[in-house]
Amino acid sequence: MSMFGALDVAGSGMRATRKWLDAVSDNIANINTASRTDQEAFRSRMIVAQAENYGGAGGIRVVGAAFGNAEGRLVYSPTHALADNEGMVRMPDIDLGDQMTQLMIAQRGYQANISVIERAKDAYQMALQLGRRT
Amino acid sequence: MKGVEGVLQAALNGLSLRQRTIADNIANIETPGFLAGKVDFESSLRAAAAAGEPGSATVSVARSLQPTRLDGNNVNLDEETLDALQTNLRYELTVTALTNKFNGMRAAIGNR
Amino acid sequence: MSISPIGFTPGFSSLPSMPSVAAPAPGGEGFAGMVTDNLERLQGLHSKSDKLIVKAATGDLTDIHDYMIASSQSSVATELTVAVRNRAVEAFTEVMRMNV
Repeated sequence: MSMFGALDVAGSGMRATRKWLDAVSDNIANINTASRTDQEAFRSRMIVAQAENYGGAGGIRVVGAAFGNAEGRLVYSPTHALADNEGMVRMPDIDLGDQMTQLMIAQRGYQANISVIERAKDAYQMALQLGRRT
Repeated sequence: MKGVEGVLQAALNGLSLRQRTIADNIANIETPGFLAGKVDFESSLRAAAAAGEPGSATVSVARSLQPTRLDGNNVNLDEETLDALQTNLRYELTVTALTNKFNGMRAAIGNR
Repeated sequence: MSISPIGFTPGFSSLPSMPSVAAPAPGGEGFAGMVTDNLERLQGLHSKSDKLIVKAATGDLTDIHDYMIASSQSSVATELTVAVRNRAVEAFTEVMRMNV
């Protein structure tokens, strides 16, 4: 449905920021997920987005995901269930501060796209009043 | 109705079915295994309008093939909300257009 | 007894002759042409507005203000045509009512 360009573009923006929010929430939820030293750590997920129809209709598209560091941090925790012989476990290399910042940016982006949609809807409804008899 | 009025009436049928389907999707957003319904009437209407037979336009409801979440549900709230908004705006436009048509006929007859 | 006819009609030959009834004034021809042009233009506006709304109904119209403007133009033009027609009919009735 391409009735109103701004609605479609803002809709794609909402979809992209929503995927970003999902990825960040997943990273935060797994910030303490330990794994064995002989396996890779939980890798943070970052979405890769690309401008769509650049110069034309416009919009944004999530083309894939990039994954963070697989090595993680080696932490000494001998009582951990997954600890190896030396008492080391592999923790994910995720910085909570960085993730929270991303969360705020993603949420603001989501809200900004929603206000674009609201304005576009208002403009459409004004156009429907064109030529109305006073 | 024939002609342009017929096309507009067929569009209204399609749009109102789409509104009901979107409401159904949103109501079932947590239902396991539920696939979102997608209404398509534009393609059939385009062909019917070009052939001059708006009465032959059909409306079809298909299940979305988008990837599902863990519970087998693939309803995307963002998309449904946007679709609902677009459908409402288009419905308003089509009703306005039909009203304009009838008002035009009245003006030609000479009644205000 | 025979009456000789009058050989001449005194004074009548110098009377000015009535002008012959003129062909319809150029203004009259213009009005008929104007009416047909107006009707054709009105038809064109209606069909443009119809084309646009059919496009909108199938979801192919990106700028709905195009349709709204075309529809307003055709509605105003219709009202103008109807007003002209009404006035013309009034004028005609007025003329027919005159005692010749």
